Amino acid sequence: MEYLLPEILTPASLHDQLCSFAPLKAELPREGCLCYFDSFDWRLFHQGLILEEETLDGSPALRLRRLGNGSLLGSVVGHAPDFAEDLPPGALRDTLKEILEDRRLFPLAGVQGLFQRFSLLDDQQKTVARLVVLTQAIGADGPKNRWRLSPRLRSEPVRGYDRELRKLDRFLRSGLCLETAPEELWHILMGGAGRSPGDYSSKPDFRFDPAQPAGEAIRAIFLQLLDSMERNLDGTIRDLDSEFLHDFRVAIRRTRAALSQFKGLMPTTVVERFHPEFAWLGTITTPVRDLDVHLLGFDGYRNLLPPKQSSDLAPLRERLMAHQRTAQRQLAEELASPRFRKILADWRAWLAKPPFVDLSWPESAALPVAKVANARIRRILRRALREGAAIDDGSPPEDLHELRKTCKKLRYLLEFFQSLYPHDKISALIRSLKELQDNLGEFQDLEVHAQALRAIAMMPTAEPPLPPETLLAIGQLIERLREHQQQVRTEFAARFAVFAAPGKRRLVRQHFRKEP
Amino acid sequence: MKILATYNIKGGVGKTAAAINLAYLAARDGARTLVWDLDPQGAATFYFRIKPKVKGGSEKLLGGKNGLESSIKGTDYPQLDLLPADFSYRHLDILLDSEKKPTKRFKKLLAPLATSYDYIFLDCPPSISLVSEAVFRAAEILLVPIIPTPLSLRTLEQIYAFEQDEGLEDLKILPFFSMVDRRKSLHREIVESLPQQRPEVLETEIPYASEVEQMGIRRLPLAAYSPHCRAALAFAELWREIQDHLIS
Repeated sequence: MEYLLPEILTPASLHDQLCSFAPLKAELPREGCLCYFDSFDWRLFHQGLILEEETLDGSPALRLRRLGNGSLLGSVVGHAPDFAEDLPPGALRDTLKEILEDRRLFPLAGVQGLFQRFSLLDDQQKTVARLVVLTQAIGADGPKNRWRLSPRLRSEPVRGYDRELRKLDRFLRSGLCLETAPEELWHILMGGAGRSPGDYSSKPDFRFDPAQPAGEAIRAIFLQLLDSMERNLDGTIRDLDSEFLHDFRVAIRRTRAALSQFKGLMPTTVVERFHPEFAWLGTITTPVRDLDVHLLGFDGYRNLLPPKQSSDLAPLRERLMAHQRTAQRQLAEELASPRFRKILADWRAWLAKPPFVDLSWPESAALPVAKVANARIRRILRRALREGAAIDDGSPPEDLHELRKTCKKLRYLLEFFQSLYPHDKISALIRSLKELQDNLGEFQDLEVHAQALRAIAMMPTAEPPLPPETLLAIGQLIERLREHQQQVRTEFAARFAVFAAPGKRRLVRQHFRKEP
Repeated sequence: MKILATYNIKGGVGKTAAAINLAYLAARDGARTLVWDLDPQGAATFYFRIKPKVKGGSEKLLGGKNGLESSIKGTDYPQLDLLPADFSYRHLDILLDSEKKPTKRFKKLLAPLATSYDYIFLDCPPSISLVSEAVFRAAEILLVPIIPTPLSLRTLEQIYAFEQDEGLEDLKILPFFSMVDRRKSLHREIVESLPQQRPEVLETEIPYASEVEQMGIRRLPLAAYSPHCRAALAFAELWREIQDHLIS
């Protein structure tokens, strides 16, 4: 429980009053700071967790707590790392790795001040509850933004002594007349730093009224996707973690898909101007993403080979990392170029004007969004079912690739317009589509990986050759990838059967009718 | 979750001192740590100033619905908890005997704590019994403090014989020298000769020291009142060595 301490209550007076309640052990007040960390997409917050780095008299400790009751889930001595895998082996690393995966930790906000701890004792001089008093507190989210915080006190439980904590809380409220803090410190600091917890998610969140004009809905989709691009831009340029580029590219892909799906509902000049530009953005971001995927899956590569041979892959990893650094430098230059800046600025300028004031929008933009969504989803869903049904064991990989592209379009449409349909129906459809996409995606990725590894192994003279044992290991790896690809291929029929279950056509008739 | 037990058939060899000091060091490094004081004498419970009482006694602890969770108490040290001793533990053998698969009981009881703790230290009573067998089946590492005397060596051999007879191949036995007095030639001889026959004996030896004896007066882990004394430094080194074994 957190309480606000009135300014008139001096530390000495607080100490005396607590002593009158129970035997007390007081530590000396210590200068320190408390800094909270999370990933860019608030993964810890979404799990109801907070990661705090407490530094008292220069000694740092990192703790993972539950937001709300403050219960401790793990801790280590030391500073917060950039990535969970940088932590020493142990439960905290395992927990954080599972939640954060490859996302970087960022300091979000913190507080510095005087921390004083008290232990409430029983007749055996044993600690039965704890108190932390924070005074002279200054909140900060960087060297410039700093703000003063009112002094506060937090009562903390000791396991197995719940009654003693309840008594203490009663005393603090009734005996000392302390006011319960309306918000816990974490929330106050996030607010002070101008952050809204959970304000970024890579998942799209569009809400439409079925009768809303399609043009307005399309504009809202583009604006949200543009926001996502802009928010991920800095992390992409600085390569803070690989997910920035991934989310940046997803927003570009969605924008491209929307431009092609809605071209009849938008001004032709706009589609003609921006479609190639977003295609260019897709192209310039591909090399780094491909290399990121290789590096992220590198442990998987190693596991495909016998232990003795897996160590032979080390030079390949170094080579991939070197290529990634070069490609990243080139990408950063492109993203700082006038061409790129102009695309985003022009796109935003165009989106600033709503369709009803911009006469270049065609009349079809006034159609109800539900009607447009139904038509598009119906068409693409039927196409996916048709293309999938035509694939058999002898079909060439190109057919699978075509189906994959159709499924992607369908997925984006369902995500754009999911608010227009019953949640359970659309979620079930997205789920079965996702299972199918995973299969198609893995098949295609394995193809790309095998080809890319072959290209690296056959590297032209510009680079020093890889050691023979590494080339041998790459050869083995390509073979394993091909075997795995065959296995993935055999799973396609079952995945597609689930997606194309008889209910799907009924679903199309029921929810994606011509007239909503 | 790693389960370590401090055990010896012989009493007064430093089992409880080892359990308390190693658990304290683990918690101080940030690991969520529990000590289960299985000895009805309740020395570990006494050191932590906690009442040697478990609600409902051993019977409820072994057979109750709440398992062990509801009896755990926090100590004076963050992240270090204790499952206290209870005088009824003197009947644990009889109670275990009436259970199905008695030697697997502790392992089953401790399993739900896997998400709550990184380390659990079982501080065992001396003697060899159904309780110790249940401990051997639950623990990953058996830490055996040995005073360098012929009698201690004999008990160590008895433990190895028991391990062989019962097929406890999953249990890693890590003996270490305790209460070593280098002024005594017998101690010096045994400390030098035993590792040649038993290479698994840990390198770190805990010296005989009055500071360790004072734990009973101060009721604190050694590192909490005399962190730089020889024995405290030896416990820190011992913990590092044990962690290496846990990683390997």
